[in-house]
Amino acid sequence: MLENLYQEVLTLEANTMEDKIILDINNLYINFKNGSDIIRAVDGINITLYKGKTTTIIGESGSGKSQTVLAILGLTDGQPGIVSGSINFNYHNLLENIPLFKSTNKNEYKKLDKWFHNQQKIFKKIRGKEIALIFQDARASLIPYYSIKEQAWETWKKNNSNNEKLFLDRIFHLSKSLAFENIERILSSYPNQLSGGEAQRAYILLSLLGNPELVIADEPTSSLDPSTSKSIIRLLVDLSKEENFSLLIISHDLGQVLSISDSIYVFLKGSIVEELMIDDKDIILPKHPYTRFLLSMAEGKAFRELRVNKSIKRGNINTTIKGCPYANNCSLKYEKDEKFKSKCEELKPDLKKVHQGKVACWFYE
Amino acid sequence: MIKAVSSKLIFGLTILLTLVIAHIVNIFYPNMFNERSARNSPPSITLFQKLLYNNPIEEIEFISNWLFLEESDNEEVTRFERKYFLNAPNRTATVNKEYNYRPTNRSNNSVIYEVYSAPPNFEFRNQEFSWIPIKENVGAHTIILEAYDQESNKTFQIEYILYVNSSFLLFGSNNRGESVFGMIVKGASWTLVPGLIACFFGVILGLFFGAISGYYNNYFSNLIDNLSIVIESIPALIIIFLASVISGFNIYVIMIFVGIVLFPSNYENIKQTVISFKKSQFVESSKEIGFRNTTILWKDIIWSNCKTKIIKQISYCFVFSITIEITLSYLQIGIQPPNISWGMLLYEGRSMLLMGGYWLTVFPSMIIILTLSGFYFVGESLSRSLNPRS
Amino acid sequence: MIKKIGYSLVKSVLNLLLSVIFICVLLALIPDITADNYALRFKSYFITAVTFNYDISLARGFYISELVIDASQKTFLLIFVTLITVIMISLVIIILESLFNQNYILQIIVTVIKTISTLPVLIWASLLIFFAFIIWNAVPVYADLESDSLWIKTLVIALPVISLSLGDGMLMDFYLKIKNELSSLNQQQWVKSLRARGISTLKHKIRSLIVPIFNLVSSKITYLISGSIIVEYIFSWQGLGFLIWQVLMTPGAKDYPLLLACCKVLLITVIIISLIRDYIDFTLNPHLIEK
Repeated sequence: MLENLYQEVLTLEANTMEDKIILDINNLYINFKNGSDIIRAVDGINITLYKGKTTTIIGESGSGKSQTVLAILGLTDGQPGIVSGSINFNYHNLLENIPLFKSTNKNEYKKLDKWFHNQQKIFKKIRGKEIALIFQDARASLIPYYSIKEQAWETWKKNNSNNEKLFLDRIFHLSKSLAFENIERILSSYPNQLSGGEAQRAYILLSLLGNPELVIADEPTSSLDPSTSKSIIRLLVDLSKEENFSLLIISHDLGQVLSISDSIYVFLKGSIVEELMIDDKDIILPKHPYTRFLLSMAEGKAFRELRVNKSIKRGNINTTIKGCPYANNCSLKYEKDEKFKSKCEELKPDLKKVHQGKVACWFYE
Repeated sequence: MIKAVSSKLIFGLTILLTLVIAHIVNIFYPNMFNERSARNSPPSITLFQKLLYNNPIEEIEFISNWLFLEESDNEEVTRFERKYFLNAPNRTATVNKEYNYRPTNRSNNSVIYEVYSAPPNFEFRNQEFSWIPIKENVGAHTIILEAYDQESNKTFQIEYILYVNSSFLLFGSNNRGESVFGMIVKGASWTLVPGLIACFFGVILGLFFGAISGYYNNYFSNLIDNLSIVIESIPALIIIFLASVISGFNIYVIMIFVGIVLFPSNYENIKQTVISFKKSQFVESSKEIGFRNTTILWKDIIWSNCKTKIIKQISYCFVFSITIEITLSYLQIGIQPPNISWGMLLYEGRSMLLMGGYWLTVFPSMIIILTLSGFYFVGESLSRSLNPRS
Repeated sequence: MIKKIGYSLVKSVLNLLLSVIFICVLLALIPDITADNYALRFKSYFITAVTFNYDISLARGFYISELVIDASQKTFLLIFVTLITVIMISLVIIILESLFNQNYILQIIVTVIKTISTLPVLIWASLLIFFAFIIWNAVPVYADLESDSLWIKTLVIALPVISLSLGDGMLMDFYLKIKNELSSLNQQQWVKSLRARGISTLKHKIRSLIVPIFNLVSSKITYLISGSIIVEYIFSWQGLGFLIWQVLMTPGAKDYPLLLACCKVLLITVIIISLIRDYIDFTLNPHLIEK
C-alpha cells in the first residue's frame, strides 16, 4: 500500500519535472570472489539518467564501468555478482527482493545465486526491447554465420510482428541514417567481410530494431581509428535525437566525449569520484585531480595547460578500500597540512554538490 | 627436469620394471614355471576357492561340489544327504604343504566319519583327514569319504577329485596343465620388443617426415600428405589382418605395419606444430642471425615444443601395439602355439568361462589392465611434468 | 559452393581409388597357389575390386551380394547405434552436470568412467560376456534377436554397443569434446551479445555444436569399424568384419572376391561420412567459403 503510494508520488513528481528520470541506480555493490580475496568491482555508486540526454561514464580499465552496465541487464557472470542496491528503470526496480547481504559465506552466495536466477525473467523482458547494449568489438558480437539481414530479421521477429514489409521499411530507413554507402552489399554480407566501422554501424542497426528507450554503448570505438570513432559517436548522438532514445556512452577517452555529453561520471576503482553536469559545452572546469589528469591526456588545445606529468601507479584492483581511491597518486593532498594528508589516506570522501555537478574530494569541503 | 614424482609415475615405472624382469627371466630361465600340473585346476588360494563355491554356477555338474555314488555294493549306502557334510573340502593341494579336511555336520553327534578310498600316505586321526603330498603325487586323485549315522544306521558317501599342484598354481592351470602364472610371465616377452618396433616406425618416422614436410613445403611433402590421408582412411584392423597373413604370423613384421597405421596421426600432429611455429617471430630472427635450417628445426622447434607430444605418442604407441598383439592372438591369427601370448590365454578362457572356469579370463585381464594403465600413466605423468602448463 | 562440393567429391573418389590400390598391393603379397606372379595377382584383384561383377557364387554356395548385404546390415546397425548412444550419453551427462552443479556423486561417476575407459574393446567385451553369464545366465548372440523376451533382445544389442562405446575412451573423447566446445562457445562474444539482445541462444548453440561433433565422428569411424570386427567375433554377429576374418583364416586358397567386396563397403562408408561432414561444413559455415 505504502509502496504504491510512493510510486504514485514519484510519477507525479516526474511528470511535473522538466527532466524525466529514465534510469536510476542507487547504492549498487558488485563483488567478485577471486580465490580467497573479494574484489569489490563496484563500490556503492549512484547514477541518474535523464530522458533525452547523453550521459558518459569515464574510467580506466578495471574501474567497474562495464560491470555496472552489465548489471543493468543482468548479465554479470562472476560469483557472487550483484550484492545490494537498486536499479530503477521506468520506476520499476529491477533488483527487487534482493536478499540482504550480511556476510561472505557460502549460504549467502547460494541465496544470491538463486535470486539472480529467478530475476532473469524480469531482465529478459527489457533486454533488446527497452534497453539495448552495444559492445566494443562489433565484428565479434555479430553472429558469424548469418548475413546482416538474416540477423536483423531474427532480432525483429523476437520483438515485433512477422511482417516483412514493415521490417524492410525500417531496415532501409535506419540504413540511410547510418550512412551506409552501399546498403545492399552490407546487408547481404557476413560479419567477417565488413570493416570495423561498418560492423559497428551494423550492430547499431540491429540494436535499434527493437525501438529501445535507452541505448548503452560500452566503449564503442576503442578498437577503431580516431576518425571513424568520431563519426560513430557523432552518429549515435544524432540518432538519439532522431529515434528518440537516451544515450549512455562508456569511454576511456575524455576528449572524445566532452563535446557531446550532457553529464559525465568519472569512475575510479569502483566508486564515482566526480559528476559533471554540463550546460555550456565550451566551459568545463573539472575539480577532482583525477579528472584533470585524464583531461590532460586528451587531445585538444583547450586543455593543454592542465597537463600533468605523472603516471598512475597500478595496484591491486581494489581489494582493500581505505580512504580516497586516488590517494596513492594525488598531488593535492600535499597542499594543506599533514593532518589533511592522513585524512585523505584514511577516510573516503563522499560526493558533495558543487557548481557544475558533484565531486568527492576533501580539498573541496 | 622432473620436479615432482607423482604416484602415477611410480606405479607405471614399477609395472615397466616387472615387465623388463619378466622378459629377462624368459631369456635366461625359459622353463622356470614349466612343470606340468593338474589340468583345469582352479587357483590354489582358499579365497578363490570360496569364490568358486559361493557363486550360483555350482549347480553345473562339471564342478559340482559333490559327486556321489548312485549305486554301490552296500545296499545301505544311499544318496548323499547334505547335512552330514556341511563344509566343502578344498579341491587343490600343493606339493610339500599339508592338506587338511575336517568334515562337520549339523551338530549330529552320532555320526562317525571314515575314509573309503584315498591316496597313499594319508592320515585320518580324530575325524580329520590330513595328507602331505610329495612331488610324485602331482595329478588328480579320487577321495571317497563315508559318514556312518548310528541312529538311522545309514552310510553316506562323498566322492571328490583332489588336484595336487606343483608349486606355482597361484592362478590355476589350463587344459593341458600349464600354470597360468607361468604363461603370463612368458607372454610378457611380447610386450616390449614389438612395441619398440612399432614405436620406431610410427613415432620416429612420423616425427622425421612431419618435421621435414612442415618446414619445407615442396612436392615431397604433398606426396607424403596424400599417402598419410590414404592410410588414415583405411580401417586399421584390415591392414593389420592383411599384414599378419602376409608375414605368416610373424609378430615383428606385423609391428612394422602397426607402425605404418600409427604414422598418419603423428605426422599430422607434428606437421601442424612445425607450421604454426614457422610463422613466429623467432624463426625469422634466427635465420637473420645465421642459424642453419636444420638447427632451427630440430633444436628450437622440435626439441623445445614437441617433447610432451612425442612422449604421449610413444606411450600410446606401446599401448596400441600391445592391444593389437592381444587382439590378433585372441583371433588366432597372431602368435601361434607353441609361443604363448596373453590373447591366447583369453581365447582358451572363453570356452572355460561358460563352464565356470573364471581363472583363465580374469587373471590375464587384470594383468593386461595393469600393463596398459602402467604405460599410460608413465606417458601422462612424464608429459605433464615436462610441461606444467597443460 | 557447387564448385567446392564437386572438388571434395573428386578428392574422395580419388582417395577411395588409392585405398583400394593400397589394399590390393598388400593382398597380392599373400602367396597363392593359383597365381605365382605378383603382377598377375595384383591385376586380378584390382579388376575385381573396381568392377561390380559380384554375381559369382563362391565356395560357400551363396551369392556374394546377398552375403555382403546381410552382413553389412548387422555392421551398420552396430556402428550407428553406437554413435547415437555415445552422443546421447555424453549430452545427458553434460546436461546433468549443468543442472546439478558440483554434485559429488556425478563427479565420482564421471571419473570412474574416465579411468575404466582406457581399456581396449577386447577386454570390455570379454568381461561383459562374463558378467552377463554370471548374472543373467545368458550369452546373447545375434540369433537371440528372434526370442520373445524383450530383455534378451535389448541385451543382444546393448552389450556389444556398450563394449564398443566404452572401449579405448570413445565415450570420453566425445564427452570432453562436446564439453570443451560448449564452454568455449559460452565465452564467445556473439553468444554474450545474443543474450544481451534477449534472443534465445539454444538454437545457435546446437547449430554451432554440430560441426565439431561431425568432425569427431568422421575421425573416429575407422576406429569404430576396427572395433566392430572384434565385437562381431566375440558376440557372434556375422558382420562384415567377421566375414573378412573368416576369409583370412582359411588356409590355402582364400575367397578374395568376398574379401574385396567387404573392404569396398567399409571404405565407401568411411568416404560417405567424410563427404557428409564436408557438406555440413559448407552449409552451416557459409562465412568461411568466400575466403
